[in-house]
Amino acid sequence: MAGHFAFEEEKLPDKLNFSVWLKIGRYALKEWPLLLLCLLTTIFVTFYDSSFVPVMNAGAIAAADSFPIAVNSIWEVSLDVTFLFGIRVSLSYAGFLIAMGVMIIIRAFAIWAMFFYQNIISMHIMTRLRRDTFRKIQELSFSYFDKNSSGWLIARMQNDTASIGDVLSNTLSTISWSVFDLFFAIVTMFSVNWVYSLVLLASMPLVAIIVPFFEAAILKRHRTARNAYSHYVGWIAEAIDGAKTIKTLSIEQRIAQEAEDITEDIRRKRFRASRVNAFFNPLLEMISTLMIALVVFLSLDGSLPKEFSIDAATTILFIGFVGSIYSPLEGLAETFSEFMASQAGAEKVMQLLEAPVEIVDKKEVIEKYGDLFHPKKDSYEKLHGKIDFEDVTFDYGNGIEVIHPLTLHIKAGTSVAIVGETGSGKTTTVNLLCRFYEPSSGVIKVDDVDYLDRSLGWLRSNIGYVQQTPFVFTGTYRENIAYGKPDATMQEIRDAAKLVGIDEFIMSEPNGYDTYLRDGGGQLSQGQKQLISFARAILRDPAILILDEATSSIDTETEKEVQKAIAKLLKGRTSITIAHRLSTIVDCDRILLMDTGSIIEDGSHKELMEKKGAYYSLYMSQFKELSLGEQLDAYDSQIAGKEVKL
Amino acid sequence: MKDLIAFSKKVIKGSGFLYFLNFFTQFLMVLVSVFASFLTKVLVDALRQNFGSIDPITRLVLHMLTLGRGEDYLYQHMYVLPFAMLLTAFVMVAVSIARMLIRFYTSARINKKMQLILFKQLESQPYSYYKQAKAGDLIQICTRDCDVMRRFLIMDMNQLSYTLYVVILCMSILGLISYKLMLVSAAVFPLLFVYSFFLIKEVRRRYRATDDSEAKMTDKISENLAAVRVIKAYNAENYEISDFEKRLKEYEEKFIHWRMLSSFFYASSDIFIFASRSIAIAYAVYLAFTGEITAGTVAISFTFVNMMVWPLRQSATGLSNLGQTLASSDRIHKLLLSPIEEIDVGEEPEIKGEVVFDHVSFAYPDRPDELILDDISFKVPSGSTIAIMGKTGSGKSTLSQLLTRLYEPTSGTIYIDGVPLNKVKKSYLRKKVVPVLQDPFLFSKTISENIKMAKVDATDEEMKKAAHNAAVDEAISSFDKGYETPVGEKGVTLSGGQKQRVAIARTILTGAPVLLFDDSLSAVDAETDLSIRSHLKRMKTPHTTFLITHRVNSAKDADMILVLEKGKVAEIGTHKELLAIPGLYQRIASIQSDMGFPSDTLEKGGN
Repeated sequence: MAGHFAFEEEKLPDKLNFSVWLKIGRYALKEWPLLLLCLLTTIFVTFYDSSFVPVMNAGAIAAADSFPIAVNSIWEVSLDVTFLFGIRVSLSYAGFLIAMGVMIIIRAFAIWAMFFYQNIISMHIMTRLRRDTFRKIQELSFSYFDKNSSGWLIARMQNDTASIGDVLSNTLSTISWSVFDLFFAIVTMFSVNWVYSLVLLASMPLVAIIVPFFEAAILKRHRTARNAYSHYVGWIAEAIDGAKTIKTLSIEQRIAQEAEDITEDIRRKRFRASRVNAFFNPLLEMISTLMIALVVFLSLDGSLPKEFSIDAATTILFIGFVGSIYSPLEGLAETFSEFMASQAGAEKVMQLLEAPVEIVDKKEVIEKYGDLFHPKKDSYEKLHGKIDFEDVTFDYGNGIEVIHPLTLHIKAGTSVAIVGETGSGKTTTVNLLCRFYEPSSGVIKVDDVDYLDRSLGWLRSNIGYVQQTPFVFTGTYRENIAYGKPDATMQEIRDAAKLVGIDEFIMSEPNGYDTYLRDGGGQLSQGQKQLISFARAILRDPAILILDEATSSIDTETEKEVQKAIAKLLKGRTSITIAHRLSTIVDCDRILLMDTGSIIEDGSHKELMEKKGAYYSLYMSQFKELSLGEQLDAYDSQIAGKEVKL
Repeated sequence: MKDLIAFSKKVIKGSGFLYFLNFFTQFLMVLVSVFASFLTKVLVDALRQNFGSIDPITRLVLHMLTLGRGEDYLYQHMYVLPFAMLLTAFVMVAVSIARMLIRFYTSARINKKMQLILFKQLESQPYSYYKQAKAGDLIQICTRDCDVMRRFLIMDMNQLSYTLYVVILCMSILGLISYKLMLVSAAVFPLLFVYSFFLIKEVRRRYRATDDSEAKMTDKISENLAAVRVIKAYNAENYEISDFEKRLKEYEEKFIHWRMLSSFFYASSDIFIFASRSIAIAYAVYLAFTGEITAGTVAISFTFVNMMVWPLRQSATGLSNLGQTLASSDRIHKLLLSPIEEIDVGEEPEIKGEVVFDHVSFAYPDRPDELILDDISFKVPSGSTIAIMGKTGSGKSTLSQLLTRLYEPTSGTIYIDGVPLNKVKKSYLRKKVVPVLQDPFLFSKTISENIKMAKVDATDEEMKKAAHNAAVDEAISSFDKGYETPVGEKGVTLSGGQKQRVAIARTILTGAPVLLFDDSLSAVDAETDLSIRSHLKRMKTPHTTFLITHRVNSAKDADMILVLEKGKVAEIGTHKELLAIPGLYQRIASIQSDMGFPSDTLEKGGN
């Protein structure tokens, strides 16, 4: 599968992970003023919905039920309304209208604030988590990225942070909403008639058992259905990627059968999931109707004591309450399920935030040179570019040595090439030099000082690094070239571009250096991108230049341009070139041939060719990999008496 | 809009009765719940023993409750009401369950149908379609657009019909009781509807802006992760953090902008809703005071208005989403319009493998002047091997695409066993002429499933034999799970050479009489190349082999070598013949032997 999406099966945790939620909870607590505001507005809105509206309606019905015959105008009528704790208020018709109008307006403001600030809280939690995770990513060492794919990291930083924000804010608001909704409904009920209230409450335990049971089943089945759908999305992506193969193998029927099976699986699982809903809601309705009928039945039977008799208005009021005591329970159960569902994400985000940073400067070093985010550049010594490896070994922590005791002395200003098969250790050597990794044993000295005694910032601000696949950031040409030196002047930027021969091209673009490059410079050729990354490297005027397979992804045509640029780049600096295509390195001062973690040949191209050893065979064997046209070109140039450039 | 309706019809076809039943049971459900609410009116009025001037609806309900005995009977037997309520509830539960089951069943079924329609259409697109289409766009049609359509056909339509039913029923009942009350209750509805419809549009616009800005943030994160080497090497961590901070800030602004309005929308439309209810109840109290309506009607007016306002707001927000639905159905429509490749029309002649190219020329339809193949003629007897050599762009690969009818020649004819190729059924032809593509695609299934892809009923023995012939048996057996090892993310990552060889095994297993190797040994070393070729030669099933290659060694044992230059046949003959004449082949051969290519041949080496 080509990896369009990073699919993950959703799983449910068995129990609540308190320690993770406590840590996450701190993010929510930082929002306490907003949380308090939301709580207050919630109290008001639930009061309006569960107490004010029902009793006002009851008052209206009661009034309509028994208008005194003596009054002539509606404005003389008074309506009796029983509020919380049995407070009876007698409102005139006008007062009734005004009270309703005013409360509607206040409620609108309250609901606006509640809704808005809940979302703001959720967003703040999310952005704070994203900010922290992003910062963490900048600190983490290479080994972390070896172990965790970028798809995985993006899912953590993007999806999980968002769902944590939503779930936290939702949970808090649903809990407060449900609690106060229930509170106001019950208190109001009891104020009106305690006997009927008790009758209604009698059904609560039953509902409290049924609701979580159904919610759990619904959640589980919907999850299964969603997983089936994720599977379909992955499958369809693959069917589209493999369309040409499907055609040439003429297996359309087979694939169509798979389509049938997969869509049928979704159909079945979706129906299975929603089927539970089909029974759940009517069942709740059934229980509430039973309760209503019971209330009505009791109120009709006049043989009961005085407390049992209620009038029409109160009956209607209680019918309304049946709904308001069930829905908070439903809300709570649903929120709890969602909360549990997001736990896996929360755990992973905390894992990321707490991952140990492996490569970090010593305390003394940080004191002197500052840390990654607050460098003290004034104390940086000038770097000349002498490099010494002394008995350096390296393993990835699993005991398998990939670099065997390696001793290597490079004078400042030499151009060195490292060649060898994949896995010979050439990239690891460069990773060690850049301190992407640190030696397992032995010492690497830069300018005769152990590089662990200097800061990461010092080393890296003196290294120019160009990698195999040139990286172009989404942004302008200017930003791209000035990437490693944001304070560079326009003149410096253009000089760097001129040196590598891309200035003319950039100037021909519609907005020159301010032309915006989208999608990582998708409109540029591979060669142009590489020239930009050369310009980026040269702008910093680094003492050490590293070309990591910098030409291997370029076709032969553009390679010629790039080669010219490289020659200019190397002048006057220490350079390390890793190359697969040997053509790029024949002019280097020194060529190191590596094999399984050791240097086996060391010398200039001429010396090594004359030796007819491993380097010579490698050189010859590469010729065979060329396409016909390249072989012909290469051969022609050899006949013309030139060095064979592969 | 026309496209939307046409596609909807196509999707619903076959589930038409269910779809109708869904709306019908929904109507029943609304009817029962309106009736249940009406019972409260009867209850209140019966308690007061005052039905006022009895309207037709109340009369009907009273008639039903007392079986025609009139309201006085009800006053004597009030327990009828709670029983009626219970009975209604039972009916209601039954109707609801039936209705929801029908709805969910139909929804899942329609969804499946839609997915299959789109998939089949995609699968029937010709080869050229996939050359220009973006995979991401196609995936979107099959996933997001499909979902949008389902939402429209099921949720939006149900929401709309629900609102219609409720509004029509409640309004007519209210109207029958008191048309004044009906008019006043409904006074705010149009306003609520129009207000919601337009405001939610702006809310959606701001939501999309927020969404875009979130996408930018994702882009930044993935860029950061992809550039981790550059960032560390350039010490640019601080710069990256401040850049990310900018996107976060932009997102926060967009988010606040959106949420301000969406909160305002809910708060303000709530005013309409609660105002509607309050106006209805205040006016009902007034009407009751004047004696026009009873207390029961006051109660019911409140319930009915409440039943109507919420769905009205929902429908308005649903309808304002029509723009998105239209955009989706437009993309779907375009895909459905795209002409499909008919693969099941034509003859099924017996194919042994004799191939003749008769003055064949080819140019891509969008660039008719640029001849990729120019007047090519040659004949390959069945059972023989032909090697095709040439520089990149000489038209080598086009030959194999013509042979499998992925493209048709611009002029000239290709014959297979004497039958013009364009008369042969494509699905049949492609089972007989099977290529191994340059960059083979393996599915994320097990290796065994991949090899058996085009021949599901092959035995494990046959599969292993094919893998052996493709010189990949040993490599596969070295994996922990052997042939049952999954390929891709969840299993092993195969090297380029291993992928090619698995693809070769897949092709060999088909036992097709014509095999095409389109530079498919490029990632395989010379020795393995040789052993694969020698295995092919010794295979029991007779087959014609097309070998597109840039290695003289791969080509030299072929019965015939064809050298293409700029779309024309430059040279044709055996290795010996071509070596004897000065030309491209001679030069390549001499270069490759100079540069120390191993000179094993099938006669000498191999196993």
